[in-house]
Amino acid sequence: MSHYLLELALWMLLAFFIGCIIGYLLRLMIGGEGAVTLEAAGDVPLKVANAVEPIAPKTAEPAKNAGKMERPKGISAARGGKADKLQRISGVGPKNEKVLHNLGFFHFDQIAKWTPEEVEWVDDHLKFNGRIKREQWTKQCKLLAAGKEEEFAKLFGTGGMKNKAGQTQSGSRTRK
Amino acid sequence: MSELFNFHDTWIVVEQNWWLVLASLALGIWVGWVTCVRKNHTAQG
Repeated sequence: MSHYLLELALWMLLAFFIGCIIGYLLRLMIGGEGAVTLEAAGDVPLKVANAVEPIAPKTAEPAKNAGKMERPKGISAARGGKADKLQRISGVGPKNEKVLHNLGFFHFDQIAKWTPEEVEWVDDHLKFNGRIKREQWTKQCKLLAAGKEEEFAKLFGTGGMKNKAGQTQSGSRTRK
Repeated sequence: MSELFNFHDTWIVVEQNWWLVLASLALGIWVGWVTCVRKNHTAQG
């Protein structure tokens, strides 16, 4: 009897794992935002077709670009003790805001000044697979730092301004 | 022990309890789906 149960448990376990893989792949293929294609049967690298701009050529391959990356210089604390609300950047949530703070970035103008090499470094460091470039963080920050709220809202969504429901949220074009 | 890996014999277990295996598969699909959603949200930050 115990042998029977063990066999049954093994089959159920196998079915569960197969189900996990199927569920994961299904979500990647049909559950994403817009048309998402699987690049490989393996792990994540996926493309979201209706992101802010057409997918940039894949540039976030660490081995290829290892020599071109450069760590941007951060500061130890926010100027005047008050950091900008980096969550306004479309694609930055509470977690990434903390990570950016830890890297020494507290203000929009800091991120706006990132060079392509520095963008590469941060992207690689945060394992974003080119998201910073795709979501145009530097462009967003240039607009936010310059106080061009209307242009920002037009290009990147509400970006921290209150929406119709009265909720504050990040840019709606790339975030739900 | 070798019986455990005898596919022909163990397949009977599946045939008799196909609904349990199917339920496990469905549960697995759900878990895989939810895991993917959470992973995406985490990446979003």
